[in-house]
Amino acid sequence: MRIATFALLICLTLLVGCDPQPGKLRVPDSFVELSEAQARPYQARAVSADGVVVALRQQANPKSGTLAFWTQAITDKMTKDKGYQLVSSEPLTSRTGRTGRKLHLTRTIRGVDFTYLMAIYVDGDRVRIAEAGGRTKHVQPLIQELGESLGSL
Amino acid sequence: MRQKFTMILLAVALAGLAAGCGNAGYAMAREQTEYGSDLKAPQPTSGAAPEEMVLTAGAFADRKVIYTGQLGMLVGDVESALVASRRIAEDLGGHMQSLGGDSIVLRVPAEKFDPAIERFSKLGIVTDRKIEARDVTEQYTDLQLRLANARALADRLREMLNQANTLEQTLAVQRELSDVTLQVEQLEGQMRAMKNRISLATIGLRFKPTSQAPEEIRTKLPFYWLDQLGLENLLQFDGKGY
Repeated sequence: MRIATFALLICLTLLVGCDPQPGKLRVPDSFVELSEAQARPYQARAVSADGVVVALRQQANPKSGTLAFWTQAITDKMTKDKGYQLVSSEPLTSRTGRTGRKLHLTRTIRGVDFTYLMAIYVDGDRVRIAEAGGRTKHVQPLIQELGESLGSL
Repeated sequence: MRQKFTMILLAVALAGLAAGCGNAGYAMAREQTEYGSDLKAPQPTSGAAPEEMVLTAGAFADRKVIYTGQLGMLVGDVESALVASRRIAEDLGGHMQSLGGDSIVLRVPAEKFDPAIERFSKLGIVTDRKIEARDVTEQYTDLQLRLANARALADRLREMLNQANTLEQTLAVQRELSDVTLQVEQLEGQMRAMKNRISLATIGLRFKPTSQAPEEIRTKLPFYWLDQLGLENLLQFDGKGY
């Protein structure tokens, strides 16, 4: 029994240890990760061949900035100010156990439908926002992979 | 016999004229029986009367209401709001009636009027709102009675046409029948239009961009990066390549 527990602990340690960069945004296999210069102003950015983009931004979080605060501030900004339509807003738990909020937004620009996904995480003094978006017809087939990406932090 | 026929035709013609004059038509149609015709006219006052002649206001107890709404709203993007509002209407089983500039008129099933207003209101900041529920039960009942009477008259004239013995009688009845048939068609058209307005609520939306909002209702948080969120930045690259 002791041996089994010990082996399990070793496996878990190895698994965690094998994660090259814990908390790093994982991107779908078909995406190309951009250089630091091309990723700016994002911390990381990757793009698919048909123009779907997934990215991560990190901002300073004032002391009392809770997940609820940022969720409301971002939702209001996107819907009331920028003209996005909120399709859904759901709680999210990332692969590493962080609690966040996932927003699914849409927008039509010159007759073309776009989809914009956001995952908001609050880590102490940082607000981390993973974003993914592109033409809806290109995003839709990737929706599961993009969801995994946004939940990879 | 000829005189009797003329009298009946005169009565029918009078009733036909009255059918176009609201509830009075109902009374006139009943009075035609007083001429003592041997043709079987509908008799709503006693006995087993034909169904169309025993219509009373009580038979239409359920209220008929026409719902209309107007919303003026501030939105981040007018085009997106127009597309989204149309989708909401379609989602609720309705459709777009007209679209022009920053305005759209939508029709939604009357029973979905409240949820529709609620969903449209979430598209932005509502600045103007006008909701109206107009009770048209009386007009609807009146129209229904006039239509029933006109149809009954048309039926009676057809019977008379079959029984006409002379060319003169035939022509006279045909003239009356033609007038009454036209009247039935007009009333049916009015009834269709009214039913349409009752079953589908009409909602007009007018959108203005938030940038045109008066300063006092605009709010801005002191976090500049919130303005950088969105597809316009996510999908833009500054040209620096490998």
